[in-house]
Amino acid sequence: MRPIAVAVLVGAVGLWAIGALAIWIPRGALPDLALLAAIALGLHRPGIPGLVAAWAIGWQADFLSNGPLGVFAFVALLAWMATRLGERQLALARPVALVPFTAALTVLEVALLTLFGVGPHPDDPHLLSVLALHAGVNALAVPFAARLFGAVVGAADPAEVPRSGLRFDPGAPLR
Amino acid sequence: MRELLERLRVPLLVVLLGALSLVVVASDRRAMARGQADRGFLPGFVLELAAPVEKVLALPAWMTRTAWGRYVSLLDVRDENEQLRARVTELEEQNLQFREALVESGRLQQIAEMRTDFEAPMRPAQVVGQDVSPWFRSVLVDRGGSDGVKSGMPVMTEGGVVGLVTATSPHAGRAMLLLDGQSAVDVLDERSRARGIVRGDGTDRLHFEFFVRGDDVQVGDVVITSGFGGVYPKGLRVGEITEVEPPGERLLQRALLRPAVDFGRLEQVFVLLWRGPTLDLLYEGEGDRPARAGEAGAPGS
Repeated sequence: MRPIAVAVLVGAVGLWAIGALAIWIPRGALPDLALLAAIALGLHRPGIPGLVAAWAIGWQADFLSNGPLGVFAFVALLAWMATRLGERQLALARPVALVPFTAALTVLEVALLTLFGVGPHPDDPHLLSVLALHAGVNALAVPFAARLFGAVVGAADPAEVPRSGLRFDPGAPLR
Repeated sequence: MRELLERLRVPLLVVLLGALSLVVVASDRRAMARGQADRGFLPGFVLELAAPVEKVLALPAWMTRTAWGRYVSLLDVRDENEQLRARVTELEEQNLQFREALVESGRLQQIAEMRTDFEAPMRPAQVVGQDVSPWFRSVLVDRGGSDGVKSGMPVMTEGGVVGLVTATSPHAGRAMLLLDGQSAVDVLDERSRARGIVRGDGTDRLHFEFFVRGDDVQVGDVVITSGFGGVYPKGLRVGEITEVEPPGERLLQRALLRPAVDFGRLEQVFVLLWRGPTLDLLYEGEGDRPARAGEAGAPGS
């Protein structure tokens, strides 16, 4: 439980740092830490604690943003789930797969915000450039975030993976 | 059955937490649409923790910018001083002419009355952080409930309107900027009195939508708050028209606005300790009642 609490704390401090730096850095040039934390926790913590930690960091982002409450928690949940589902199939442990996966999730996040009616304005002349920059920054930062959160939460408990990880495998027949 | 539940507990929790998040999103969207910006205890608690940390983290960058700004401004200070003196003399002359004209037309009294409409105490606040998402535009300030700052209070600079307080904790507050996609302000063209709505779109520009086709709106016109929305006092500067789109077949005509405030360099802002009648009604009875006319802090008091 303690590593998970530390992961949530690391996520919170990271978000505060991003809030402070956002004054000085161009829009989109800072990573989306809630998204990266969800991906990293999806890689390193496949069970319930990882899921809850990703969700909690998503809430932190909600409280530090002007978006509708709960939207980043929902995005973090989806990102964690997508990482769990894609881990085996896409071999996300390797950066060559993780980097484009993260860029794709960034674009999907914006699509989801648009679906909620709070996304970027379609007439925004800088939308594509900001989105490309943000997706690129997230993609470049994800290996570091994965390593950081991996170090914080440690290796996954081997018993946790088959018991509670999301699988397409139907498992043994029920009696 | 137990084995099935054991196997499905992660997917079940995902569905449960996802549904909970969506319920909160929906209720928050509804509250925002009604203009109720106050978000309760937990966001305030996180703001309270975040504000001092962000203030410390932003300090080196502030100091660098201030030092550099002072150095650069020192280089030009003599020339600028002379230019400003000449400008002051010119403006004083103009001012005298305007005053005489106003007295003649009997409008000085009316303007004095209009000023009292929004003469409310202001609380200076420092911007210590920005929104953690590039898709939303808000700032974190170092003043909160203990300084009299409440949700729904307008935020401004000497340049004009900055936005609206949307969340507070005892020592911190979050303000939604005019640039945010969820922001809308009832405004007037100062010259032609054409009325409309200014909306943000998340970028550094504003959209002015005015209702009556053929209204006289021109590039260079200054747009001010109308006071009709019941959120901002009348007469605060919002921006300047930079482009008027051709009306076409639409009922609404649009124009682009350059904000009166340089949002890229927001450092010091002022929270107007006043809440408009619309938000006042919404918050009445929620233990967060702003000052009314006649009470300390009320406009015109």
